[in-house]
Amino acid sequence: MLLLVLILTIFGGSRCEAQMPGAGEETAKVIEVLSDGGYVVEINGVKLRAVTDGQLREIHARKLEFASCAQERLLLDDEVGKLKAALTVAQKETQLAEAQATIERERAGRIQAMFEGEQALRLQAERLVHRGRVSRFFDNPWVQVAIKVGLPALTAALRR
Amino acid sequence: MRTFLLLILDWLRQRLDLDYAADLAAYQAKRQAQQELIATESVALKAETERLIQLESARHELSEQLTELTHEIGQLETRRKELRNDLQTSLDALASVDPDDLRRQPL
Repeated sequence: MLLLVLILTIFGGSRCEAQMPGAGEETAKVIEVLSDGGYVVEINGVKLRAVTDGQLREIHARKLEFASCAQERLLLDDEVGKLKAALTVAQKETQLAEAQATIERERAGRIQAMFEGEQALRLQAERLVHRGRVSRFFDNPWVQVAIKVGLPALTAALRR
Repeated sequence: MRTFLLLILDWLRQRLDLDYAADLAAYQAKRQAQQELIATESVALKAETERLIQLESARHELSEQLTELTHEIGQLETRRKELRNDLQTSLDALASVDPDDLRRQPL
C-alpha cells in the first residue's frame, strides 16, 4: 500500500510508465524503487516521493516529538535560569554562613580569653587568701571557730 | 558588723604582712584591668551580636528564596514529565490511527 506524499526530490531516469485510468492527459509513472520501500514517482511531470504507511507514521511521530522537544526546551531554559539563580543564592548564603562562623570563632576566642582571665584572677585571689603567717593564723581551727561562731555570736550580742 | 570586723582584720593583715599587701595591690590592679577588658569586650560582643542577628536574618531571607526557587524548579520538572507523558500518549494514539486518516493529515 503506497501513498503519495509531497516531498520534493529530483531523481533521473524512468523505469515504468502507466496511463492513469479515466484521465486522458494525466500520467503516473514510477521513476525509482528505493531501498527503504518507498518510490519516486512522476505524476503529470512532477516528481514526487511516495512513502509507505510505516514511513508516514514515523514522520508524524517525529513531528510530535519535535513539537514536544520545542516545548521541553523552553521549560529547560527556564529551569536552567532558575538553577543559576538558586546557585547564586546558595553561594551568597554560604558566604553569610562563613561570615557568621568567623564572627562566632572570634567571639568564642574572646570569651575564652575573658574566662581564662577570670580564672587566673580567681586562682590569684585564692593564693592571696592562703599565704603567709597571717593566713596560717587564720587557717588555725580555733581561729576559724572564732570567726565562724564567735563573730556571729558577738554580732548578735552587740545587737542586743 | 561581721563585715566591718573582717575589714578591720584585713586592714590589720595588710599592715602586718607587707607581701600580702603587695600581692593584694597587684591582684587589685589585675582585677581592675580585667574589669575594663570585660567592659570593652561587652560592647564589642553586643555589636557582634547585632551583626550576627543581621546575618541570620539575611540568611533566612536567602533560605526562603532558595526554597521558593527549589519549589519552582520542582514544578518545572513536573511539567517536563507531564510533557513527556503527553508525548507518549500522542505517540500511542498515533499508532492506532487509521492509515487512510493519517494520509489525509497535513504534514
